[in-house]
Amino acid sequence: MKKVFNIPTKVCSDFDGYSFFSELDNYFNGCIKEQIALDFSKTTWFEANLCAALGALINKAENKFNQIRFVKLSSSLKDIFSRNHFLANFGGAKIPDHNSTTIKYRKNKIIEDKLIKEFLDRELIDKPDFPKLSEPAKYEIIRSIFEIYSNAVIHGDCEYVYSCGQFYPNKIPPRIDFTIVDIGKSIKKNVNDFLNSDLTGVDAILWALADNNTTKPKAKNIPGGLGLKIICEFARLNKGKVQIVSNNGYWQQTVSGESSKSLFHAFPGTLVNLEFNLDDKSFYYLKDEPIEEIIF
Amino acid sequence: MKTNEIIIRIFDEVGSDSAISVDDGDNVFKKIDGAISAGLTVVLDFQNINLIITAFLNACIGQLYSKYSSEELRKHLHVENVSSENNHLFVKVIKRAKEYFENPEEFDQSINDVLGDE
Repeated sequence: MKKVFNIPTKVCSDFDGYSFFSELDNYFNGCIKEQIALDFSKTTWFEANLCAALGALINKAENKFNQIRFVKLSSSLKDIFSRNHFLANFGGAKIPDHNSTTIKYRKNKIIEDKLIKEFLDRELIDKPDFPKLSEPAKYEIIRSIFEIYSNAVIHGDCEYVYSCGQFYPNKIPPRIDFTIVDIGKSIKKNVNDFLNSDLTGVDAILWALADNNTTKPKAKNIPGGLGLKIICEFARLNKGKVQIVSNNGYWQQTVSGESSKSLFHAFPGTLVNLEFNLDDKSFYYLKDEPIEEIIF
Repeated sequence: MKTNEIIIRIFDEVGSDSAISVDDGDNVFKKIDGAISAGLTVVLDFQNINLIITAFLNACIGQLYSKYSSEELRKHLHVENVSSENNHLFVKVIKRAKEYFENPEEFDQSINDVLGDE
């Protein structure tokens, strides 16, 4: 039987947008061997960085032999989803991005570290509008983004990491959003398994964000931790944003401070959205820190 | 080079200026482990490495603390040509690895530091 799921009028990188994705996954969970049409007829705005979440959820649903189709995509959405190569992964076309406003949709196997690095250099950090960074600061930002990818691999225990980004030059202030998604073990599951506790999704995220906390299994003999500190600090100075969605937990750090909420349905893994403010003429460099001797 | 010493060049091991792969870190760990087990001293040379992520260092160096004491590592392992920007990563990773393997119970208590008595 053919099924139809209506995509909302607006899908943004905010609590409502992430609630939509958790609702979509909840819907997909009830489908096996179905033909499902995602109906975009009412959708006038869909933030293209969120293709990372949409692609991840569709792949998850396809693993249960469901066939997913996009129907009634507006010409502008079709254009952007083709320019960021999202549709190309689902039988559609890819077209050149002459405006250079997209950061391509990527589904990376976890072993492609070097490709991910090249991709981040080319598509994000080296873009002319990106805030100016000294070389060491640039490496720190890339390092932080890598920590997110490696968290997905080490903690999420998943096969693929999905990412996608979008420049919004006409927003006030102009910004880039870059979203990374894994459909693996959520932070809530990892933290509760590790602590043998029953924390909420939000509390589990707060625990994982604290410096030095890690759920990396001791059996692997590789210590972990040292997560998102630098990227959160950069986002604070840049007046950008960091958002984390995992299971039913939602946490964000914005220019107004930190806030968190619980989603009604669980998101099946972890989503990290980084928002960079492009109206920022600052030049970022790393504070000189005293060089400590490396003593084993 | 001394006869009982080997140099592991990270640039050569990872094939670029970026030490970002856990697998590469794991491979270097195995080389260090093999050499120390054979009674050799290892020099880890980070010349020409610009980007290092902690996941690499955790695999490459942090993991050593599961097998060797600080004293043994101080005797058999040296790092060279670490840039000033990356220096703090080594210090953090080593500090954390020591804590991790020496006081595992502290990690189980750390929830209280974050969530208080909630």
